[in-house]
Amino acid sequence: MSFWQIISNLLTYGVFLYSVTLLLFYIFIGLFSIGETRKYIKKNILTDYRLLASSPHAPTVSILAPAYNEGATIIENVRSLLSLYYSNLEVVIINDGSKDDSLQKLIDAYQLEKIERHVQYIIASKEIKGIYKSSNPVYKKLVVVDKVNGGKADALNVGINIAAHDLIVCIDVDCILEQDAILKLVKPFLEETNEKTIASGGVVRIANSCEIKDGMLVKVHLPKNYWARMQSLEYIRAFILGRMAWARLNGLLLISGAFGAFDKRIAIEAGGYDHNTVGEDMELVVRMRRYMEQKKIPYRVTYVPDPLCWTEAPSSTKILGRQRNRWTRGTIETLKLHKIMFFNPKYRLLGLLSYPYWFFFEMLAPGIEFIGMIAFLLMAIFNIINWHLFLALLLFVITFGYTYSAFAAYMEVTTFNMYRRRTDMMKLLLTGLTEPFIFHPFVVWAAIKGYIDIIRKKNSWGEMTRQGFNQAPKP
Amino acid sequence: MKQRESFFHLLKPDHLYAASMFFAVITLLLVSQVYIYLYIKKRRFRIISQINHQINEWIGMIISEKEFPVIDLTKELKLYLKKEKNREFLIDNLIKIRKNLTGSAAQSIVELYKNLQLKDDSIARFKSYAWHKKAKGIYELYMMDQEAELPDIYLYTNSKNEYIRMEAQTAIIGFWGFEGLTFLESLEEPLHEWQQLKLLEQLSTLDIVPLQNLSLWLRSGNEYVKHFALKLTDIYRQLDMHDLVADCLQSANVKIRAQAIKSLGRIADDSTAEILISHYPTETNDNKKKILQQLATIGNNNITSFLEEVLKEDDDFLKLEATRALVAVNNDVKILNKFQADKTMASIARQIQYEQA
Repeated sequence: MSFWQIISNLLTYGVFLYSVTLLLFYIFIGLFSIGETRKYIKKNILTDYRLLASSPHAPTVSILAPAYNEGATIIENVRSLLSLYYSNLEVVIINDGSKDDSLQKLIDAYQLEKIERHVQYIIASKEIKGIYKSSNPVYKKLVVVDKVNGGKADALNVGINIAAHDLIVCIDVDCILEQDAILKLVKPFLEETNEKTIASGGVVRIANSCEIKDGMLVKVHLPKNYWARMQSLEYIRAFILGRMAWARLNGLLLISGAFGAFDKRIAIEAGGYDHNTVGEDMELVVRMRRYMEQKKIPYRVTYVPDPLCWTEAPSSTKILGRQRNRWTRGTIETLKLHKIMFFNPKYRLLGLLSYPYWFFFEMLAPGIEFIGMIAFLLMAIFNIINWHLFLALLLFVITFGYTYSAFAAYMEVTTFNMYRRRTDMMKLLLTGLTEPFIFHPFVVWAAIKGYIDIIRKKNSWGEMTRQGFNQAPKP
Repeated sequence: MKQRESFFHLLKPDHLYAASMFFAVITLLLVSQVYIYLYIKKRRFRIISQINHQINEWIGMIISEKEFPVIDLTKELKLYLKKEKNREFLIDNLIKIRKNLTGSAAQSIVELYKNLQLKDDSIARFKSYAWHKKAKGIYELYMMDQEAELPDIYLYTNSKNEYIRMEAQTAIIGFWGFEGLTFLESLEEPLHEWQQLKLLEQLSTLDIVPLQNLSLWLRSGNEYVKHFALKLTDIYRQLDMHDLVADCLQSANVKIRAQAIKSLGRIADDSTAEILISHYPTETNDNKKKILQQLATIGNNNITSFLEEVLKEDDDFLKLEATRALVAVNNDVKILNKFQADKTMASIARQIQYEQA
């Protein structure tokens, strides 16, 4: 057998085996998520969250919200956070060296004054220039930290150093949280028994085209923009199916940076956020899990499937491409930092299943898909396989993708049902039909660019311009 | 080439077309299910609106009439209420209304529940083998004051299923108040903090009665019970439990020790400061911080030398708490002046001066 034959066989059998395994994983994830979602709904049907909101015995929570050049919306965003339904709460806004007038706006709007506060830099971070609190008791929950610019991870580390409470909730300041979001996110920490709850993740949904008033979500609409609409379907698949199944296995590696709660002590002991990666959200979860495994302390990373946090998704290919490029780099950087866990039985499920899954089916997927597609095209062109078989294989993959999306839509409708209009569901499903031809190739290409940037050692976040939420459709 | 042909020989296009057809059919079925579900939901919304309208009429009648009125069901409503789901919705709504009412108005809702023979549904759920139905059955019976079912519900206060157990415990406390806490003596299963919080909130609305068996609970082999008992000691200031609480400082469970430190602060006597100081070196940093916080409220200037020793520790949080305690036990903010030479201590002193101002 010649060298090229070996390569060709490896490619053919390799890609085929890879695809079959991935497909089986998807089937497993889909089926496995059903039980967990149903159980969550059943067990919370009797829960009275009001108890937690007002109880003096409820755990104390610090919300950490880094802000960089958010002057246009910062006042509204902070007002929204201050109105959250939870009494034992501290809202820490970290102004990460904004070049705009964010800080002055906050000072004026919330009657802030500089306070004396000793800060222990338990986690190394850039210097704090000042800490502000309001002279008005109405805003007593608010703490504003002004610091030298150092990026999101650094700002969050400052937040951890400043946070007065035991649980920290890290959010993107421009996210819209449901009023009961903190209550639902915190409850798993109170339900721990023999396993320590170290982190709890919440569902993030797409807020484009939704009606927002006074920093609160008033009415849910399906995004009008194609790219945002496509991401709505993608998020439903990822959050209702993927994360739910991984949470059931206690194998979650990622809690969205937009909304997640952590045990502050464990986050500190694990070393806080790593500011050398653009995937700081995933990296922290992996490091906290690794820390617990090494300490041999039983633990859980939980997940709340209720739609609690709404965010503006990129609605242009330029911004979406940057975002997916960054996600790919973040995944690669995180997995590289923790490569010791790869198929390492010492790390149990984390090393034997979660990490390899992310390695093969999240990190390598775009590359394998890209190479596989080109290889199959070439093989079809050179008659190594016939076009007939090539098209049949393509049809098979596409129809499976449709089934998976339809299943996600079914799960969404029968559980949280955020898109109640039949036309919205129709639009969502029809948009899904275009995914294999427009959206998916685009995100694969963006990820390939992420690979290239990793090789070129590019380490920037990429500017994430947002359009803002003031584009509610007419009723 | 032959190798690849043999591989693709196994993978025939027809097989793939068949599989694609299978997935296409499944997709169509799922999409039709989505629409059937949305249709049913819309139809249900209409039924629910009618039931809600009827409930509002009943409530109006109940409030306006002195005697409990005769409840007539329309033909349509009778038809709707033949379905278990609709009856369940009716019960849920009656519970919601009852939660917001007190006195005779609340009792009238219970009468309405009985009058419509909805108790049979709750009992059926309670007898169900499905955990979520059983838990819901207990909840409904408790919310609708069906005290006759209490002996049966009590049996589930130690159920293996946490949701059934939680509802049963809630029901028992709901009916019997503090006396209901007797279930703690036989509890072998966990009583996690969410349930503890629920029970404490329930108890907070009641007048305290002597907690006869508190000492038993503080000695319980079930660590969750011990933890809960420590909270009761703290909230209801059970001063005579001081020694038993101090014993809990020896627990291997860090949460129990943390709560014991807090409770000791609330029920302190002359020996407490000394007990906490002698325990201090063995504690975690978090619990050391809690000890210093308690010492700030219960200590006197006799503990100054201990607090000055703490200032030599590396952890700034401990230094901060120790300095706060120093100011508190000496009742003199001027004590901070001597810390100006050290950068960290000067920063801590400035914070405390700011807090005191």
